Amino acid sequence: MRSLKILEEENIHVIVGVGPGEVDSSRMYLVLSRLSRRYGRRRFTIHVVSSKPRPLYLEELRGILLKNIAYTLVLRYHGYSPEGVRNIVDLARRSGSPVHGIVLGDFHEVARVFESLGIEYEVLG
Amino acid sequence: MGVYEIVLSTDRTMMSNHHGKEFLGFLATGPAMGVPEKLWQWLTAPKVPVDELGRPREAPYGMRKVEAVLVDAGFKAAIIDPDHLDKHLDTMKVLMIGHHDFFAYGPPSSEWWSLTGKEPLNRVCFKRFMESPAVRKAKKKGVRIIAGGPAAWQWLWELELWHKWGVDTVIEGEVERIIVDVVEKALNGEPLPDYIYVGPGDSPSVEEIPVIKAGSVNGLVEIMRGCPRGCRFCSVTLRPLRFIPLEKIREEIRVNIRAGIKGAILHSEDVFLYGADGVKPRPEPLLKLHKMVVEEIGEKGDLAWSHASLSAIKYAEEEHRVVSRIMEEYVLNDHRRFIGVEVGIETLSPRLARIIMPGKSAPYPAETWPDVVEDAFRIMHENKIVPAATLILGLPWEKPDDVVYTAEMLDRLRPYRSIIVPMFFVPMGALKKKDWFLKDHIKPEHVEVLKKTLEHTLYWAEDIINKMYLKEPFLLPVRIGLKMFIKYVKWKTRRILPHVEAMIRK
Repeated sequence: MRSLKILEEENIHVIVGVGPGEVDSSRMYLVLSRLSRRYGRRRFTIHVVSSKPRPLYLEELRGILLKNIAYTLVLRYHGYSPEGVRNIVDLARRSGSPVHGIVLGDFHEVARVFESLGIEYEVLG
Repeated sequence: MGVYEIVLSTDRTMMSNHHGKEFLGFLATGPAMGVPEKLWQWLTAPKVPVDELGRPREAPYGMRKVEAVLVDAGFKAAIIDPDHLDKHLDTMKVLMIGHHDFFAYGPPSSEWWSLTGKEPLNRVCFKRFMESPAVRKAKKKGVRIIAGGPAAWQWLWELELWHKWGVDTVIEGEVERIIVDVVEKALNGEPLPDYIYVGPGDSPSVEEIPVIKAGSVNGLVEIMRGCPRGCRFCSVTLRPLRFIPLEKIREEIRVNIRAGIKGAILHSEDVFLYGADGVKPRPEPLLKLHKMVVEEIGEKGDLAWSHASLSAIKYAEEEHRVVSRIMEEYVLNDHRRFIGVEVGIETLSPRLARIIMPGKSAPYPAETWPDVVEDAFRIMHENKIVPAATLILGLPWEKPDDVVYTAEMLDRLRPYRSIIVPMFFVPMGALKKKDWFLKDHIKPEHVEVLKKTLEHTLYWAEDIINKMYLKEPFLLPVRIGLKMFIKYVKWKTRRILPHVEAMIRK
């Protein structure tokens, strides 16, 4: 996967594990704002790990996508493999940009991968 | 026969010049009313002339910008009329689709939908376009579909259709700086992101905004991007304010004239803020702009503004007499008997104005909003400017007193020639239930506002049609159609209103 010029340069990678059931992604906005302030960057690549197929998984992320007007967001889908998170982390780390994790809902497997790789993460709802 | 690898297209309600009358295009945001759908479509969105490759003489301006960026980057790209996509099926690799209201969730489509309970024409036509044999064949042969434009967000509410139609990427925001790379990756078969939101920090500079290569619908040309009002909920205001230089505007008008389009629509969030000092209009840039435009379009060229704010109109006239100077010195003549513009009233309650749009009345205090509206309406009436104004009802912060106040204040606007369109705030999701949304939400005070705006609009619409609009002989059938439509609305209202009032009393 080659990243997009401009939009995925000087960015922050956020890996989001979307668990089953209803989740409220609008709370993610606060996390993005905090990360933006911390790193002085306004572009995010959001890597989504979800059991829902594309593009139906976007229903869970509609809240954040509609709430955001300030940041550049690039959404990439990676299917439903907690182990696949390792590959995403590898790719993201190679780009030299900061990597952060978010778990939406009940998705312990992803949380465990984040912990094992030393990725800072938070669980939202 | 195909030539283009990258084809940009959209449905008929967008790919039309609306008989050269932009306002008629608004009727395509409603369902067919009182006439068969085919007749309604002809009335609101007739076909445009195309060349042998299916390239339309006029196409939506935003799509023209994307086309220009891609052509400048060396791609074989062109806008193709929806009826001629099959001519490029053998060469097409990327299909880019633009729209300002894909699924009719924007205003005023959603209001027509909520009022009538029927799917608006633009939604029906867009679905038909996506289901058309040409688009389906393109997808089947592996063409990648990229959708974008100001209504991109609506795809988030239509994920099933997104999936069914095989849309690869949806892009929202200003794309001049980034679209070449996205298209390159699409052509190379590389993975694409599902959704892209181009934030304000990645907006193009004035230099990065290209000049269009071919005609835009009714000669629309952009004079500025962004807005300095600073409303916190609005993405436009976060983007840098950019005034398009006169020479660039002139170039685009010339592109349109060469395409056979005899006129210009000056597009901006607020035309009177062109070259302004913050929210205070300045006479010099506005006069220079209009002088240049009429030099280019000539005595017989049509001229319109897309949007203006009422506060800027009041300030421009009261401080600098610039509205009347523009109209007297440049606009009005035997051919140009009036100018049309969209304006937003939204509410006439100062309390609600303070909450939902504190920046809209600037440089005047929000408390004076009703006076700002009335003064601007008077200025426009005196200068033969005909506003199509919007009002919003049913906002979450609205109280009955706000609506009663708005209804009372509407009487003060009665003497001024204008169209006032009430729009209902409709929560997303409500429309898809296929229920008549308003029946559970409309209140007696809303009915009063609806009645007053309808009376106002019908009265002035007849006046405008009789005295100013659609005077060209070849537009006689459209004029007759429009008059019949007004008669139909009057008849229908007389029938429906007692039922609505009885329902509300219950």
